Amino acid sequence: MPEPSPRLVGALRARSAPVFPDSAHPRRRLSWHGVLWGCLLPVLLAADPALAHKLNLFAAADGRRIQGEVYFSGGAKAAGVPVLVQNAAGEALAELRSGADGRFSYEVEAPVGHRIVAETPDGHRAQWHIDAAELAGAFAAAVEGDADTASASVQAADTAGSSPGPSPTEKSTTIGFEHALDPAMAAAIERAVARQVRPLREDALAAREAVQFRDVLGGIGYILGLAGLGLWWRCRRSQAGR
Amino acid sequence: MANAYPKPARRARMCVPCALLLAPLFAVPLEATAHFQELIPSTEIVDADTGGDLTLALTFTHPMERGPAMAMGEPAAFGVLTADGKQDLKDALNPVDVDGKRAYQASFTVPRPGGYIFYIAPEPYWEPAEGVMIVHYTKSVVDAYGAEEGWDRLVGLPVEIEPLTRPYGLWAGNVFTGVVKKAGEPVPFAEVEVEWRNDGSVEPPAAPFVTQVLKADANGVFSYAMPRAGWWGFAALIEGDEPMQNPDGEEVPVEEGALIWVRAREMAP
Repeated sequence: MPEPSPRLVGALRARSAPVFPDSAHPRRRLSWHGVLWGCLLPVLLAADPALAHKLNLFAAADGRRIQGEVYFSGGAKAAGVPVLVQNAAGEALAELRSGADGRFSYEVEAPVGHRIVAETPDGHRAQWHIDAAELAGAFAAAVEGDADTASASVQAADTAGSSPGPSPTEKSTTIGFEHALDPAMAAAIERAVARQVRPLREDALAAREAVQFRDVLGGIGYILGLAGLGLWWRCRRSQAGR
Repeated sequence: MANAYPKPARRARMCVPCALLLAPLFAVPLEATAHFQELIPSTEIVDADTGGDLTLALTFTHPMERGPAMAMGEPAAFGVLTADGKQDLKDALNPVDVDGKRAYQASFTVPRPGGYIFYIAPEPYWEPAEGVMIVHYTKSVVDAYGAEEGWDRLVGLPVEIEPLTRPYGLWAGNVFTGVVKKAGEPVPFAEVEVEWRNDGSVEPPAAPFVTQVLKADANGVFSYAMPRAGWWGFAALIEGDEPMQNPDGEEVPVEEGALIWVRAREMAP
């Protein structure tokens, strides 16, 4: 069996019986080491309560913006964390910093895939992908439209990229399309339709329940009727036999 | 042939099919009853892979025996509790058909990271076999995008289980611990029934395996080790203070249930 290393012995001693004034010099030095670390470690841990927690990043497309937040598992917000916005090829588009509430916001220049990476100086790292499809709606990209409107809207998007602020969209039809694809609007429409359709669905269900009860009664009728028929036939046969 | 038998024997033989025909009519009320209000989200952990769209299934049923379901009325309350408070989701409820009985389904899109506690206060259910009105206040907790916060928030239901174990990210075999509370106060020695939501892979070998029964301690705390992956329902059953009117207008006792659903996952799938 290998001998335990003197360092380990020192550390163990430091934990169980810290310092003996009459102990040998090297052992004493190691013990002090242990005590020092024993004092420092909790301080270091307490300095960053989120040290044991995972860094997370969440982002979502909201019109032409990417809104997101950086936070630790357990609920604490990660404030002042550098947030790097990249395109799908990995080229840096912007360098942001999360606010006091951990949030950040980025004005998108073109409906392409985005990768957002947060990295704290101590090496915690989190990232999120935004698909081009999530941004397509706000850019009125021709999902179903013809090639002309598609190129026009891409050009509009390009000009929006070079000049800050909302892009000038000339066609009213394009604006209509944009609104139709707004996720909040779509959700509101979905909710409204669900609310309207609900009484109909409830009626249909109630009708089905009623039918089922009738079916059960009918089934019992069938069973009794067929059994009766069988018994009557047997009776007839036995009487004929006699 | 039949006419070879003497007359009394023939009559006895005819009674057998008659009894067989009538048997199902009498068998129904005798079945064991462990009702559980289910509130099962399509996932208990929302992340970039699952996406934010959730479907919630609300069924009043016997989870271990996979039914039969009982008809639900329109819930008195259905919503979600987050760090921003409660949000009413009754408009999102859609009636669906389970075993020919009314159940509900709801869709919800998780907007951002956080803890999402879904809850339902169902319409009281009249159980003639037990002579009680049953109200199962039920909740399930969903974590979104690794926030892992707010899972122990109390909805403020009349009876409620406060989880002491974080109610998601659980392995099969983990112990789930909670406090049974009524009006915010622990209920000593409350009875807790536990059922696994059977996916058809388990046939209980005997009746006592269907519902696991435990009692909370003097502080209302209970623990249960979940032996299998899947959804586990914990139902603390407490007799209500006030009687309630059944559909016939009689005053009958109320069984108030505080339910929480948690999902355990296999460590090596």
